[in-house]
Amino acid sequence: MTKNTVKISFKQPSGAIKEIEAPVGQSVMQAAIFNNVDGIEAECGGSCMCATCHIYVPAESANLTGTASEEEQEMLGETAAERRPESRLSCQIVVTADMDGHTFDVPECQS
Amino acid sequence: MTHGVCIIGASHAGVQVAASLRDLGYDAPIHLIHGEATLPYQRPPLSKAYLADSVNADGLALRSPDYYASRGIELLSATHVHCIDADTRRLDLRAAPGAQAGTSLPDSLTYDHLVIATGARARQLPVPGGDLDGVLTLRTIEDAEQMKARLETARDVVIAGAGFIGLEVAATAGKLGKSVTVVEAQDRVLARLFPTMMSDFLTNRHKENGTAFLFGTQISGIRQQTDGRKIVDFSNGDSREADLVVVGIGAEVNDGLARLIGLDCDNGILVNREALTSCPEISAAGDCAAWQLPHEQNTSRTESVQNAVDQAKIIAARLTGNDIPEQVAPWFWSDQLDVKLQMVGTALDADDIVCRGEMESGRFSLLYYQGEELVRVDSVNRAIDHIAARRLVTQRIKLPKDAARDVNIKLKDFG
Repeated sequence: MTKNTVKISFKQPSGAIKEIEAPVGQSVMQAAIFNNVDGIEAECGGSCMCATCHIYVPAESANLTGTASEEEQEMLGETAAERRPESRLSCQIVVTADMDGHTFDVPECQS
Repeated sequence: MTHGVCIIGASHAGVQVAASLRDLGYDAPIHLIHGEATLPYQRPPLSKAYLADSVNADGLALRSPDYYASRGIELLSATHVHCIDADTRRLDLRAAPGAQAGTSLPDSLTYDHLVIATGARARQLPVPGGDLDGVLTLRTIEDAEQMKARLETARDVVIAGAGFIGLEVAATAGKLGKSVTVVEAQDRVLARLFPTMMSDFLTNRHKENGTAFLFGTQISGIRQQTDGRKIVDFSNGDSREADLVVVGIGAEVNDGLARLIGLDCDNGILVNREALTSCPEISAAGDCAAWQLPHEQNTSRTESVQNAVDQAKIIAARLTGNDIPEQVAPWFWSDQLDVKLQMVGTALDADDIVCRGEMESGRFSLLYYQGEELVRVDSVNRAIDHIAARRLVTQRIKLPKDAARDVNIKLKDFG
């Protein structure tokens, strides 16, 4: 692995945690799909069109993920699992160097 | 001994069959036969982000390199199926271009069940010079690589066909500062799919991006110049110089293997509601499969990721004895310039169309009705309508038209 990756983790509703190496600059969704994280469907391939890559970003990581665009906000109104203030679409979050060690929560369902 | 499932074709449908089988606990062998030397990859970005260089080849992969082995899926890359013997349930294999020398490839495979997911291929331009260097179709990652390389130095680009591929490439090439001309035999863009108002909306957006359109004519021939450039002749007598000609005039189904063994085909391999062909040991999914959609009289193929993934999930559910997922109204998307177009439903014979939002604002949905029933919705930059419409159109609900027009009333609150 080059230094251009960080370790991020995904926590399932069951409590199971999977840590992956995520390339900086890729979307969190891409990194999750590529590393076979369960519970992220991303059926549109990352175009902010399907709301099936929903994750919860815990408060301590929220400053690293930017804010949801108006378009993403709308899509979040259509998620299959409960929408919470921490809800984001992982296709719209770019992996950054300072995300190293952070954990995202996977919702109960995507569709 | 159980031979398990063989899957011919490792694009969206084929990979999804394999993944869903394992997700549903299928534990017999799975062989996934991929005609290309790459990892299985996503096709939609090829004409969009990949061509514009905003994603790289790694970003296109459908699954990670270690996914297949980790799920017990035997991925055979750069492998062609030469023929199927349906009586002995055997596939005869050959190395495809790009196969690495010395890689051990089985000569044949035996299956308990076969899934054909061979997709479609780009239709070539049937005119003199249609096969010249620099006349390109776009279907594979290799096609996209070639097109990207050509675009780097090209000044003038002529695009045959104002369909989705043609328009997406036009958008990207225009943004790269190329002089782009789209040639379309019909009198407007996407004429078979859209009403005139949507065609005009899209055309205007592309014109603002600098794209020129020639409607009602087509390329009649292409001549190579000594300087490497080409002269593109049109059936109306005009001609234009170009460095790159992009051909986006539709796809032809890859049903050759299926026809050779006598599977029922009619512009696609005919499958039933459970994605099973006329042979009980063979399923088909994705662009190569034709079936009857709910509310439709005829069988049809749908060239979309959603269709590929849904048919794949249906096959996996059937083979593992699970409940078959419901058929849903087909949905599809296209990115062109600042237009994010999302469509659900296939009805071409609506008797009324209601516009939700102002077309001039670049943010609206067209709601198509047959009587009181909502049968199709095309959304432009209104993903929120699209997501709700997938359910509403599948159910063909009776949506009051005054509510449909009112953007303050959410579509998700109906049905």
